[in-house]
Amino acid sequence: MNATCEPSSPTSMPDDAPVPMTSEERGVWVFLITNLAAAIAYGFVIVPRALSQPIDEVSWVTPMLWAIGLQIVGTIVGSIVAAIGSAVGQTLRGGTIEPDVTDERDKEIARQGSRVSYAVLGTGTLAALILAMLSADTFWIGNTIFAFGVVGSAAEAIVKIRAYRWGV
Amino acid sequence: MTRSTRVTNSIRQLRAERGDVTQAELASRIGVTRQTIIAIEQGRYSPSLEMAFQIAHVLGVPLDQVFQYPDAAQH
Repeated sequence: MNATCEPSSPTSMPDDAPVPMTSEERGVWVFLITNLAAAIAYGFVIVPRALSQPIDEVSWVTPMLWAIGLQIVGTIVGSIVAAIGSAVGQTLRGGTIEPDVTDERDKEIARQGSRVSYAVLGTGTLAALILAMLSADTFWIGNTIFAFGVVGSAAEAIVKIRAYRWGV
Repeated sequence: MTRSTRVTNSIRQLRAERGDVTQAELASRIGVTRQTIIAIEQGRYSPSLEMAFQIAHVLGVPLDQVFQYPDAAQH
């Protein structure tokens, strides 16, 4: 039996072995890409409608529900696909799959990201509240909340990626 | 631009002295990712006190031989 075909233990991995993303960082990238893709797709549907007809006649609820659904499903499916791709890549490169662990550094980075997204979402909620007080059309209220949600999510992901890459 | 912590450490040197402790093994023994050990060694992450003690325990040395805080000596 050829011993070199046996996968090596993760603990025997040399220091100069390629360093893949942790599962948490991979998830952040998937979250960022999926959220931005869904938001851009929503924008491509809604902006032409908003420019071509009165705002109170624009049908925005169904496209927004699709966008939110795509964000949720896309993040789940994307994370699974990325995990499989990472495992295959690690196996092909070195024969060792890094253990899937969430540690205190991941939790600290998640806290940093959450602080940013809470601030953005809080601002968005305040903006939507002001629009409601001014009796703005539901189009503006709904889309303000959605837009701040997308920006908050993107900011959270960027803060996390920055922490993973350049330090907490 | 890397955000460096003021806490320095001798983990890489201590691992080298012991010869057989890889980043992956140290990570496995304290229950973190290899990426976290790399971040600590490169000064991109300051571990919690508990993790710092765990690292020192695995390396078999007192905490202050693993981690140093240079400014403390200057004051």
